[in-house]
Amino acid sequence: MSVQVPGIYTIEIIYRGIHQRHLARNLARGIAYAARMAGNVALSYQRYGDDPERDGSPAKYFVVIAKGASEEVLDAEAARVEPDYVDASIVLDDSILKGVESWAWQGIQPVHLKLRPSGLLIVISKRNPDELIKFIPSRDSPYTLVVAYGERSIGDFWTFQDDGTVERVLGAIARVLPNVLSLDDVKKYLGSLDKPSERINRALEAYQSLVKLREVKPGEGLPYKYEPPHLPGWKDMMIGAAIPGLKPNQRNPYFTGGTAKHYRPVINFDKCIKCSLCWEYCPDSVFDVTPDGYFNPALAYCKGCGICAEVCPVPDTIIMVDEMEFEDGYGKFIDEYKAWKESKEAYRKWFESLLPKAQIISVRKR
Amino acid sequence: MVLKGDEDVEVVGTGTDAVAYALMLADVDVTSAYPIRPYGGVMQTVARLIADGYMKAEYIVAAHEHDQFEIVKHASAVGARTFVGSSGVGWLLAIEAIVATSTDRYPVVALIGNRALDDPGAYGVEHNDALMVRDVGWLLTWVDAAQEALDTTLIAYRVAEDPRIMLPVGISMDGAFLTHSEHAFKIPPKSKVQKFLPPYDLGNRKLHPSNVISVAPQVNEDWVTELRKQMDEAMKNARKVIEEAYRDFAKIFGRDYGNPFVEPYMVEDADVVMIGMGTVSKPIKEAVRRLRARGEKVGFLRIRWFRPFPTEDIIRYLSGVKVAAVVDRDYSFGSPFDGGAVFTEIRSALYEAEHRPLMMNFIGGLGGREITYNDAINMFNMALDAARKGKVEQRVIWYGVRE
Ligand code: SF4
Ligand code: SF4
Repeated sequence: MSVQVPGIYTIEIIYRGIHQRHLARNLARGIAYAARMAGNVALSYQRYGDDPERDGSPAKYFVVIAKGASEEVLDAEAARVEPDYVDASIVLDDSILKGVESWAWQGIQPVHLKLRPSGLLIVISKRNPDELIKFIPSRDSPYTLVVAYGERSIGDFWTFQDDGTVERVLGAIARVLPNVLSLDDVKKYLGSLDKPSERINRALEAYQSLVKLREVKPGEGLPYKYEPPHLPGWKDMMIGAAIPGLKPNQRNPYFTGGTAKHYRPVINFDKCIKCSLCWEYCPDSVFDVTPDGYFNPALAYCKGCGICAEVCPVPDTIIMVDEMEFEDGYGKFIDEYKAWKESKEAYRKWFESLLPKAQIISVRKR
Repeated sequence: MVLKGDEDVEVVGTGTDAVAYALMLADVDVTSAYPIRPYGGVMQTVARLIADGYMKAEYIVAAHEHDQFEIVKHASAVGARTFVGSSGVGWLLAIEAIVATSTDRYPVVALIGNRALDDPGAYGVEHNDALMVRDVGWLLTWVDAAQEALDTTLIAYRVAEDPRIMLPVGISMDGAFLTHSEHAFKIPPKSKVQKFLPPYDLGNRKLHPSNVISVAPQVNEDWVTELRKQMDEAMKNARKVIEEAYRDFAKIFGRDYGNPFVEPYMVEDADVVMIGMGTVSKPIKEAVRRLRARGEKVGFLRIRWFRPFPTEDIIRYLSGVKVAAVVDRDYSFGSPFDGGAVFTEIRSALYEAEHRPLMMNFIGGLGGREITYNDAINMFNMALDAARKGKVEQRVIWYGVRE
């Protein structure tokens, strides 16, 4: 259990691995610096198990701030994989609200699994809280959903694109967690960096415009019950960590990663020529072969990499669409093939409505 | 060479030849080779046995030692009985694959032709190369004769492949003194080996299209503690399984090694016992014989299995002697009391003894320097002196080091 010392605040930063790695690190360090400049003790650490932060999958940073406690108490908090609870979660990409695919064996976790009752869920998004709540599972205790208005920042593969997200989040924290970091604390920290006035202005803007708060009551949101995984004892395991394989058409319930993606493939079965390339190339074996020779994505296993769309030889037959266009998730996904079989006309209309929102995957094809 | 019928055939050959004959008898399926002295002899003999039609095995020449050990690890996973080995820095170049072999639980058998770790260059025996892997789940044994090398190789497969073990075995053989010297030894007939060594069976862990499993998944903190515990259990089981194997070996082959873990030589009434591993046994035993002829109560204890460590036997044979003097053909820099690795282990085991002996440590024969029976007599004299005085003046002695 966490050391339950009054005056310790834990903040979680959930981000997309590699896409937002530097952003998350800069933010975590920034919060810790600001807190230390304000006279507290603070540190930050990464959930190491997320390393190497596979392309796009959710990963976490934590910041622990102790008011009036010693460095020793704080150090005890750092020798952890992750804390038992957090006071606030900062989600740097709203599509992560659809589930945190904790790596390996843990299954899909609700984004607010670690959030303590009445904690704060701070999301970078251009949607308002009422829209976002449709993507978040319900829970037994209340929390506050806070939207810090902004574009999700990506493209941080090897370099950090300074798009003001750090400052905006600090401004938001000053607004909703003034007991942890006051606006003055944030200003003091930003004032110590390069381009201080520009940075302080961004934070101020976020501070002043932050009215998108919503109290979320117990039971509100998507119905989803997270079952903690059963981890086998040393006598139950196969020797040497071997694990039994799956028969054809079986899928491993512990390896779903579907809710973690940015984009998902949507298939236009009307145009599909059944060439099988999508099925062959998908690195996660997402496609099920249908009796009539089409390839239906089992979306719970899709990572959103876009390779299927890339290899499909028929233009606009597999399109990659922003995950937030779909109000499904948490294990329940649209069955695209079934929807098409049931009503080809309705499916065509739906597909066409998504077409303008599709990401251009390959220049070659347009 | 005639290898027919049901009789033992006596040949003269090197220690590495003896191991090669054992591989032929054990029907090893896959070997991977990369030349390094003093290990290389075994691969040359295996190649000749294959070329002459005595042995049928995949003989894969690897790009380097890391590949060499990866090849057999994977071959072992698909159900092949495998053999590999190396020496000195070559063995350590493969360390990543060596560690994965035991943690993935593949019963690979390897020969370590003990050699000093470069730099500076040296081909001679030193035990540090094998000892570097003492903590990663390999069973480690030291042989001191060609016959024992052949027999131990057969025993190693039997132990490694036992479902209660499934850990790799490293057979250590002193470079030059055993790998390159020629002795007479007996090659037993295949019929006896078949009685002793069942076919390799990985059970439900065999990697095969008809048995769909995943091996070596990434598991991190969720599973690793449990996996280490599984290995611990296997290593503990090894004491029993080794005993069973030697008992059956004696029955089938008619060669009884007595206590499988240690070889006691005139220790019963001894006041001073020297302890060592490998071929250092030869000059020390000769020293024991000469000193006994003069009426000195001295003895020698050879450690045969270093992992699992023969804790009980060490306590049994050394509790109550006046001086236990360990000859280390290795050194552990900065270790407790600045001694050798074997000294440190024995000292640790004796902490539980009712009567702890005085302890001395001779660091000797590093880099392949010889230890003669005169050297052993000198060491015994120092130990006898300590026994008479009832105290050890110099705990660790670098024997023969030039000032
Ligand atoms: S985007 Fe396509 S290729 Fe990538 S995982 Fe999903 S279905 Fe497979
Ligand atoms: S790659 Fe495109 S055309 Fe080929 S089977 Fe898949 S969806 Fe159909």
